[in-house]
Amino acid sequence: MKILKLNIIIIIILASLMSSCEKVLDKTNLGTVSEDLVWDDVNLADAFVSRIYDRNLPTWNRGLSGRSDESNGGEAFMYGQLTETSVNNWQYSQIREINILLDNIDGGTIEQVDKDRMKGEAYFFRAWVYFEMIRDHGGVPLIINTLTLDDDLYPSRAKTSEVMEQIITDIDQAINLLPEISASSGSNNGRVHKGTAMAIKGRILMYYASPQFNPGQINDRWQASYNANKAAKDYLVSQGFGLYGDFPNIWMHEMNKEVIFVSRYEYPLKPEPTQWAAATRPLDVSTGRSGGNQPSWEIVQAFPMKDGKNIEDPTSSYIYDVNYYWLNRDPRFYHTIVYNGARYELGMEGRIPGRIQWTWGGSEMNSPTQTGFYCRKAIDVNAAATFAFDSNVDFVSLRFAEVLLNLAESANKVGNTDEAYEQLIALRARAGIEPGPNNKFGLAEGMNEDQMNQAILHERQIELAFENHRYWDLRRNRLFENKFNGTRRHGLYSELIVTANELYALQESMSATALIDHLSTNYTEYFRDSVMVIDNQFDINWKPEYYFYAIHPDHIELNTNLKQTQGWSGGSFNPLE
Amino acid sequence: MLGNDAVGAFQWLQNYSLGTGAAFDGVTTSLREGTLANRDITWEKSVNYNAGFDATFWKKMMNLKMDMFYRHTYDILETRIRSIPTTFGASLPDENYAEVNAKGFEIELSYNNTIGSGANQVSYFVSGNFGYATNELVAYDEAEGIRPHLSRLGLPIGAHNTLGLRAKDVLRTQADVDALPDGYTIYINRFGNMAPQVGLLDYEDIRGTYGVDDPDGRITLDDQEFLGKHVYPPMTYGMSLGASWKQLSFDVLLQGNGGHSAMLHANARRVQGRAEESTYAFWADRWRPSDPNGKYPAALRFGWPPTDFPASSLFFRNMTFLRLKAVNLSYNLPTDLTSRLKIGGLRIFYSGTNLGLIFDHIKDWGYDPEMNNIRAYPIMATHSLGLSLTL
Repeated sequence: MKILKLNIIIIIILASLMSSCEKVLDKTNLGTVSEDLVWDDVNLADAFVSRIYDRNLPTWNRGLSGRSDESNGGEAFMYGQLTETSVNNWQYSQIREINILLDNIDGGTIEQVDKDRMKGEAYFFRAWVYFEMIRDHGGVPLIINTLTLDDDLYPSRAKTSEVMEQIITDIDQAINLLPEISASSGSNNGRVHKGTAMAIKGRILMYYASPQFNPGQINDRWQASYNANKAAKDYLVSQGFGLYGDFPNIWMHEMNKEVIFVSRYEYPLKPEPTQWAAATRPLDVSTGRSGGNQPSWEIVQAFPMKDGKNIEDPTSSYIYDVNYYWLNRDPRFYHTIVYNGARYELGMEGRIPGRIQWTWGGSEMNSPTQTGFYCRKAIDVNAAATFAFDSNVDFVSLRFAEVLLNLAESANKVGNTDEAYEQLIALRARAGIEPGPNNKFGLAEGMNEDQMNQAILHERQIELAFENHRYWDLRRNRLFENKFNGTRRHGLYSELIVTANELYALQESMSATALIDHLSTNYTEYFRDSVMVIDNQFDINWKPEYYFYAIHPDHIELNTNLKQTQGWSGGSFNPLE
Repeated sequence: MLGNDAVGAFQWLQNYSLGTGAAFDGVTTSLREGTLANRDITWEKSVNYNAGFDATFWKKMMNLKMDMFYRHTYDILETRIRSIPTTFGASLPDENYAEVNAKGFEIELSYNNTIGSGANQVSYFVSGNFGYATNELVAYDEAEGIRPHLSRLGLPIGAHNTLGLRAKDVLRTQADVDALPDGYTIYINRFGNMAPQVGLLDYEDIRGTYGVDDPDGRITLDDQEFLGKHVYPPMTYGMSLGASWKQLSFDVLLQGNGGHSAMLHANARRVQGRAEESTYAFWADRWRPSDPNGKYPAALRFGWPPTDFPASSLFFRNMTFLRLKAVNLSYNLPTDLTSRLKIGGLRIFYSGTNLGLIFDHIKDWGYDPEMNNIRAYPIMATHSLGLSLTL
């Protein structure tokens, strides 16, 4: 880790020395930096930018997988119990800091190249933060200057389209101002760069073209999304970014060429703040958190067979046997799902070679899995439990695979189905799916736009599983009601039909590899699996107004110019304008 | 006029402070805008007016004391969190903003006299005191669009702590449940509402979420109101009387305060939070299928937190009380007896403090209204019996 820059210290000392010739009673606050110094010193300004990163970089969200068919949980969202106060995405303190930088940096004496980079970073995050807010609420007040108490402090909500216009203006500024950084260069260290901004622009425009914002499916929006994602892909490729050959290590090999937008963590000064890894690991080999991201039977079934064909597809060269559901699946299945009897080499103190994860009823001592499965994506098996709690595994919030998926979806919507095929095939080839005789990696041939759209959504479901995408994908496509309402999600319960001693004796008698091999043909001699419901209390009941959440009544109370979102009590603001 | 300058330092100056920032290759330093500067910050001030009156009558047997005061405190430092919209984004400094008026009076009347004369003379005294003091918020940090029922202006300090739902009755029978409108739900805890069922406590549906000022068919925290005005007692009163006859003397002190109310502490509104915790005894009187007339609602579990009943009028009581604060009784051995025993003097005495409540309104909850809350350590009674010997 770097030491606090010497310059900062010198300036603080200078500041205190200069003030020491003043009157005795005119004290200086030695613990802080004076306002007028910040924009003349590149290190202070950089520290200000560091704060903007720190507050606005996305983090893992342990609750998101539950708000979808990936996992259990998400109660208030899934059962229709949200109120006006439930979702409160209101990041105006962050916006203010960004505006302070943009309003002041040009008046300082920092070199132009640094000014440009910092402005680019600020524009990037302003676009990012406003996008996050409108994705939840639709149009929000548009504040793009540093407010003082003498300004009009009572804004109305801007139309969603007006905020969107500002977002695009800002992200275009970011694209112009941010440095060009190649994947292998030393400056590819986690700061946003031109390629990050281009990829985020592609994501934002794809959301804006999606049914959530665009229920009438105005095609211009898809064209804009296509152009942005195409440009992002081409540019990123020219800078050496691309799919990383080693899928499970996308998260372990820091700053590999697939990492485009990342929140970086380090122990002990900057551990991952949400304890995502601790919550995701089985509690028997974790500490402090539990119960996160347990895969549903739905996501387990969503993974295709090894040849890329869906499990129920009779043309697959592999026969799917529900008793042996884990055999011959898409390799990504094994890098995502931990099932009863899978090798999962976690330990409280560090990696335990040859450890088998049991999830059969009664096998786990502490908080057994609710679904019968665990998620292993982005879990560092070498980490001891305490280092899962204070993890240093970076959160890759946008990786190159998503750029391809965003491009595929947009290309398909503007009629370039072939281009969509190309992206999916690239992903499937990297995953290790068999190409098949027609080199389509299991994709059906001659899909129409609708079929291809389904295929892309499916590919996102498995490629990006547990990466905080599924909930947003379902929501931006307005799929919740049709797909899930009135149904419940499922897990798999494994019952041990021999005694535990017999099973453990068997495990003692052979190596892990031999045991896994043995279970791949003899599993049913030891276990009886049955599908169980994991929504114990209620059917899923997503409400149509959840595509744009209410703004918290507190904000309206403090500023009655704000109008509530349509669909919510007293709501008159139309988020689709 | 008095001033108070207990104010955080350097609030007049705009500063930036250092901290831990994002990690790139190594963790970096961050710099943040500090609290907004208030260049006009000054101290808080108060103006006091006092008037008093002392008199004695009837050959000094009767004493009267009266005091009155009025105090206007202004420029009270407060952060304007509610009166600046949330889109402003900065953290605000203390400002000289709030104003409070306080007023009150105190009367003390005492009388002492003797009956009889010579050896059988009885001397006695009676005195009583009564005080009343209250205050009101004149200027205070409130939202522009605050709902009128939540405004604290004009109310005494602390009145907002009486916020609670207005309890109706426990839903005692299925007929009570069926009589409720379709789609009616009842607030359970911060995780949500529940469809009515037998044994639940029902509340008055007064209004809906912000902007909906009519009953909305669901009981939420929006239905809360200030259930009282005073959480601090505006009235204090006391009385002492005593007499002495020959070698015997006794005196009694009664003390109390009143006019205020309190919400039962959240822990007492929770039925067995954890397996290892017990429940307050008054919960025995709750609705049960076998006892549908119980005063309190059923102890149903709804996950964590378990059966955490929200603040409501069911748990809100007048805290007025009068206490037998002290009793002293003493007897001096007559001098002819002491001289025969060849000692200077011998006194036998009893003194007791906190001997019990003459009246209060929370006997069934089993705690003392003078305690801060039901969980506080009880006020101890003391009994001393003594012998004082002078050689």
